Amino acid sequence: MQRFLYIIIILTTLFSCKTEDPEKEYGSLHKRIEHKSEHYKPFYVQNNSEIEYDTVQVALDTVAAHHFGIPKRTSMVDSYPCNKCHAVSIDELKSKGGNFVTPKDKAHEGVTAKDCKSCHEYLKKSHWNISLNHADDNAMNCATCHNQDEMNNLSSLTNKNINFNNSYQICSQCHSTQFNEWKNGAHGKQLTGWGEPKVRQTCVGCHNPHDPAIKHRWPSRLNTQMIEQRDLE
Amino acid sequence: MGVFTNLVKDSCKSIVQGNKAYHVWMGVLTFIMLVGAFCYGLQISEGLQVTGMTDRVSWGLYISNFTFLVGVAAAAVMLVLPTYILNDVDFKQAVLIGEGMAVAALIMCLAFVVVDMGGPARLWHIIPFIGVFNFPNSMLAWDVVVLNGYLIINITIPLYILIMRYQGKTPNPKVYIPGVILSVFWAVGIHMVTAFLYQGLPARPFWNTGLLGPRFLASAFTAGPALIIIALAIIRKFTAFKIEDKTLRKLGLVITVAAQINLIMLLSEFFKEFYFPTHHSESAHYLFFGIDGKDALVPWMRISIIINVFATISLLFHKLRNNLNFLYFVSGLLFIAIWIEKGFGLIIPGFIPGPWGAIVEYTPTNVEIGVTVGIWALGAFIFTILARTGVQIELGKIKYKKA
Amino acid sequence: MGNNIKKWFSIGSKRVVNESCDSDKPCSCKSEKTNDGFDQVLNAQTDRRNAIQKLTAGLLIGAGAVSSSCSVSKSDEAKEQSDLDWEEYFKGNYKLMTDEEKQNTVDRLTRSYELRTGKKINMSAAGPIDDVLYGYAFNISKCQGYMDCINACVEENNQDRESQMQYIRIHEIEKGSGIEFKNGDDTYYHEVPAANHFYIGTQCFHCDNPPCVEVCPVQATWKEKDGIVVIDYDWCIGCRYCMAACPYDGRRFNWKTPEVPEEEVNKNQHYLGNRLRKQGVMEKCTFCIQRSRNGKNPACVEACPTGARVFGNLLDPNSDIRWIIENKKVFRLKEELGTEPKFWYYMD
Repeated sequence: MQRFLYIIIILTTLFSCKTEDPEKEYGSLHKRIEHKSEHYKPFYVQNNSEIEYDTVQVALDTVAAHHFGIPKRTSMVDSYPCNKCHAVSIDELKSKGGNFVTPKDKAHEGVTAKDCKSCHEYLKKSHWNISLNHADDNAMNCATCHNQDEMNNLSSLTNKNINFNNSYQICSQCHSTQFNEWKNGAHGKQLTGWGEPKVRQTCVGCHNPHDPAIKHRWPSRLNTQMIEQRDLE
Repeated sequence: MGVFTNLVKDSCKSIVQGNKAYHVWMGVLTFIMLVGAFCYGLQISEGLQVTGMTDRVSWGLYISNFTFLVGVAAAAVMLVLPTYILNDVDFKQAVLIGEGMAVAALIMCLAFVVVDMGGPARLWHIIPFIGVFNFPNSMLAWDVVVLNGYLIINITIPLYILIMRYQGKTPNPKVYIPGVILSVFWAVGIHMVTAFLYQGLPARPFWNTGLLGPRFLASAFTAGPALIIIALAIIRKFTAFKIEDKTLRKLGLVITVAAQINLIMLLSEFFKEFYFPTHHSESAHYLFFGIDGKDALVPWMRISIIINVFATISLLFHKLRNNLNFLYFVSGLLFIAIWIEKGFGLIIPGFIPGPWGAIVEYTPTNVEIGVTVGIWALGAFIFTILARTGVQIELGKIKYKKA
Repeated sequence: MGNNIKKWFSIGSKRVVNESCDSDKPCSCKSEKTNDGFDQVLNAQTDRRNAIQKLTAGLLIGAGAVSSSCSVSKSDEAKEQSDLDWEEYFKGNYKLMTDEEKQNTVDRLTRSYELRTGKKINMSAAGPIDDVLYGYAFNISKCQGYMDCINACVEENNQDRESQMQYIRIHEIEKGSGIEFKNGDDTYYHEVPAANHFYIGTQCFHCDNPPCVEVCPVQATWKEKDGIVVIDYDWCIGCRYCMAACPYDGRRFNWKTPEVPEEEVNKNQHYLGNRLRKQGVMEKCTFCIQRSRNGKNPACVEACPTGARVFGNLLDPNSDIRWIIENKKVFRLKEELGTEPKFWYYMD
């Protein structure tokens, strides 16, 4: 009987050793990540039917991480192309005096500025409601970003032409930290999943360039059950 | 197996016979059990939402009582140890009663665990080989092993002794002594393992102390023998079974020492929490003083501490301790004090505050109380049956007749 | 066995004693007078024929009651439903199933849903993708407290509407008090972001050393190869030990049967993810396993309008999440517990 007891005790001790998780051999999560990512192959999402962004590829440095698409801004702005109305350059407009524009489409052929009111009496000036609420007078005015010669595009601080779709190149001039973070994924929104190909939202997709601050709003829901449960009423 | 069947038959006969008080007692217990069963039926159909448990305090009255009763079950060893190992004859009469109490308490423990489960129909998942048994890793798996093992030991050893006595033979020490020795260590084991259930959770700093296991043992050896003293007193009064004063006094000595150790451990915990309070002391603060006006447990703990201290100190005096009536009274007090302190005074504060600091109080609902009281009635019922059979056999009223 | 001793079980003999045998009513008290209730029921004399008849009747009733799929009076659909329920009850732990068994259980569940509601669901048993370890990052500076993530999560994961179960919590904490959750409030309802407050969200962090996995007595919860900690809802027995073990309030329990309005049920489901659960089982965030195993982001990541939530593959050296944990000052909550959560926090 006693021998039996001893056998039971020994067996119990042997079986009581905790089973080791084989993945713990790395010691810590960080080491495990490092070791396991040596043979990493990118994961491509099979059917991307849900991704319907009209995208353009971001042309940045050649680091693989920075190959992603961004949605085309041109397809999202109703009044693009700008030279539908802004047919002439700002200089020309200024020389002619005043703020009026000459529409260039067929409907308006032969029509001069003075006649706008007769057809479009109700029509206020376009962009009448844009006020610039971005930095202050010393740093920003309309000309800081908008290309005055080619109104379809934008211009950099050194007056280089920047495509309307690549507005991030303008934002990055002042907001270089945020740009670096956006490039690498720490700032801004990813529009596709974690697999390849990746599409990120542009700066102007979240921040209205004329009034970029994030607005206040109410939360989406209130958990009344939780309040009741915690006796907070 | 003819002997066993006869034993069962005879004990069934003896159970259904008795005087009026006995029938009233059993009748009341049956009624309470039926109420409990009805409440449990409600719980099964509606789900555990009928209890007061929530996502914040996810263990309540059921697990509190389970924890407390494991201690009571372990305490049967306090009688077994002296009787068989120290050969102290004075305890011999009380052993069967103690074992009966252990079995009843264990069945109550198992019942409390089952009613606490969200999916009792799926409990077969825990059976090794048929289901998946997370043995060395999960303390709950350990608990299943030790509790069931203890139940088996506490059923087989006394059963062997009873069957022998039933036939008028003497039980052979070579058969039961090793089992008894095993049950002594196993009893300590069941309570340490149950303590480890809570002790091993780093998420709950109130439980994650080294002292929890020893505290459990100390309070078990106070509350268990206290209940046995009361049971023996009742048996003494209502049956012809002779229990000597010596036995009761020795048990009184056991609970005196255990109560002092328990109080010292409590003091140690108290010091650790309140000498330099940290975030981890929030639970103790809630328990003893309340937080932000939420102090549901404070009056309970105040009563528990006062009773505990009073009982422990008064037991120090020989004159008081040797007065049997006072001993019964103090045993009752200690039992209640430890039921509060180790029951919901341990489980509920473990969950308050929640992991992100939310203070959500817990109040048991009527359904929950109904099931709990029903299970206590079940325990009392089983204990009465076992004690009655045991006493009758010891008194020689039930004898095996080779008809 | 005289009638002096009252037996609490002796219903029968009482009746016999009260009836007078002198009345005109026929009574069979002669042979039963001396038996007490115990004997009456358990020791009654009966012949073999009666005994066999009664036993057979009992057996038939019992068997019929147990399995109504053999019953002749139930419809075909109800029988099929019972068959499916029967097989579902006896299946094993999902972790130990072969691929074929997994597909079988998915088919059974899909068919069961169709029988119950007439609608089709699309349940997958997709396994982990190779070389993937999911990680999550949360930008505290960006979270404005909108709770759009919670809405999306509830809809995506078919959570119970009545108890407003939410895996995610957003805590509003006053600036200056540190990342001190006990001073925070997760039941706010006012315009956000409130002045001088910041918002920080918590959910299951899918620890790499999960305490919940350690303590489950039936191994109903485990960590998959791609790092997601999952629950087999049909295997969970509802003991709630894992809930006590989780330091991050990651797990939720179904205290009652969860109900989702039919038109809001998300039909793209995964066995380990957002399929409909039942009463008495644990559930939690699964990093939207039904989405992330298809290369998509979890619903919360997708819904967040400010881009405060980032999700990706930790093993991809070019992923956003890798860059964040290697270049931003990241921290995890309750780091000292050694749970190695795969959920990092950072700030701008």
